[in-house]
Amino acid sequence: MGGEDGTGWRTVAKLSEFRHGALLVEVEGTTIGLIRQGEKVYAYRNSCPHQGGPVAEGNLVGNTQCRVAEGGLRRQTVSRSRLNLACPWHGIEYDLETGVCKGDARMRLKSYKVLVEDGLVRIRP
Amino acid sequence: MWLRGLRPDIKDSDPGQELVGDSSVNTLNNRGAAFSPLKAQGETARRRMRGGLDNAVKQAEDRGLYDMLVVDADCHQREAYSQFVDYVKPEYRSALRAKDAKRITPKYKRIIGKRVMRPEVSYPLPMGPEEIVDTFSVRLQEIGITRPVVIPDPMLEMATDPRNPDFEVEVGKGYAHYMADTFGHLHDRFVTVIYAATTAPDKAAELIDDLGSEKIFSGVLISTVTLTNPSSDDWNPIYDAAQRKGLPICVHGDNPGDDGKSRNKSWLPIGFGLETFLENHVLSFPITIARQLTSIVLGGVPVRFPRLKFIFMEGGVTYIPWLMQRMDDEYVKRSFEAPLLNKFPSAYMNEFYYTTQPLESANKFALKNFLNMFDYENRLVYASDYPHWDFDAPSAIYDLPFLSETAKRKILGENAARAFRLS
Repeated sequence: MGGEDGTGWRTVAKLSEFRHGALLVEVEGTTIGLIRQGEKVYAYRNSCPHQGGPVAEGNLVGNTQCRVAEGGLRRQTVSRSRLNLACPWHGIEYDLETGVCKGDARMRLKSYKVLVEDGLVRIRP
Repeated sequence: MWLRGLRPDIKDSDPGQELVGDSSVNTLNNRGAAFSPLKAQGETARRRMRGGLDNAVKQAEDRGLYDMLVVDADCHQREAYSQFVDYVKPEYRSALRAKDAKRITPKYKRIIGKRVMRPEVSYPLPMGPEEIVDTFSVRLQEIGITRPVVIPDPMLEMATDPRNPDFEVEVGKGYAHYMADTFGHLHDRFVTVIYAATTAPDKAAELIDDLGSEKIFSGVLISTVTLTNPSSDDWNPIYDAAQRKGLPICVHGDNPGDDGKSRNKSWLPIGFGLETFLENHVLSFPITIARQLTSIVLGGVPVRFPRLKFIFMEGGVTYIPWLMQRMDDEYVKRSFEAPLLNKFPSAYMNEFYYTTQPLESANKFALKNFLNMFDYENRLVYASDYPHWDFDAPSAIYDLPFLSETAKRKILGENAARAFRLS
């Protein structure tokens, strides 16, 4: 689709191209994964900070959380609404909302601002 | 999912124009946990394998790995047991086929399936010989690996099989003959190792004598979960034969069982008796390697077989300095129990080789310090463990910021070429 429009935004896809899940686009030699959840779209570079795996091609998995109940008992649940993106190479999980690694907050996915308007997905590299 | 480049000929104001290809759609399954498999669209997409190694191919290109010797000292070609059942006694064939079925367990799918999506991690991937050459070997070359050393990890659990010792002997022998017959002429593409039955060392030595000169074999494999200990005099025939043939002893990590190995009778409880795969995996390989290594060093095996080389596989690297320091300290207090030694245990350990995977690199500063505690530049050999869930691409070594160019070349290829005597 179109290139940069003078405001820094690039149109990279039609929203109708993917209802859920990911679409890979290439912008200036960089592969970016567009990940759609409902009407919201996230854009992350398709390279895992761990070893460079194609993170945007991974599964979305529910966030596993655990609380300590009375007496030290563990109560573990898997969220249906809070999702993590799991890199398909090693399974390393990143918070879909923030791109921050669940196991090591020093690792964060390279993210791009996303604008969805008029059925088009625009990102700001 | 498909890869699509930007098309400069389509402008934002041209909403009517068709985009390249069709959309690919993922849908959440009814548990809301994972996406269904994707449908590839377009020529570019067909070449891409979801979660595949394309990024590793690009890494190899960017880092100039095609111009280097890169030996992968520990990878696995995922053949099923059923691929070589014709090479074992008829009475054992059904048992081997049954093992294939046990390898696909619900537990394993829970552990790996949702997260690690590289298609080749599925167990078992019953690759025939043609696929092994066309897919496995070529794929490794594409990510920059010049010489893979195939380690037959299905053999490792044979050491504690209840049917021993004849079963272990037969399976090891059958596998070796299958490899020699099927891939012997491809020794310049990849090499493998002879599995030594540690419950029947004399028979293992016969096999090493019989096949050890074949170019397809570059080592002798033993497990880390064995019924007897490696310094036992019972094992001498294995060491003697390997030394005679100039083959290194490859001690490959294993764990004391999961769902598929519940009948084993090893010296450790199933899954270390721990709750999770994570807990088990943190400990199992380095700890079982350390057990064998301690026995080999303090039992004086390097003194008894001075020309024998050892390669310890898949324990990572951080256990090495810990064990060196620990053994030296204990040895000073009780050297009478290791009378063959004429130097510190750590000095013997500094003469062995160690594969790098899984490289513990979460804290690179700490990793540098760990490595500086032994002769890492000359003793580490790169391994991918491909296609397993925790594999390391060559970039895991190449990108370490503190390694010199010389060290990178040694660890990625030259040390292994020396250890395995690869041309």
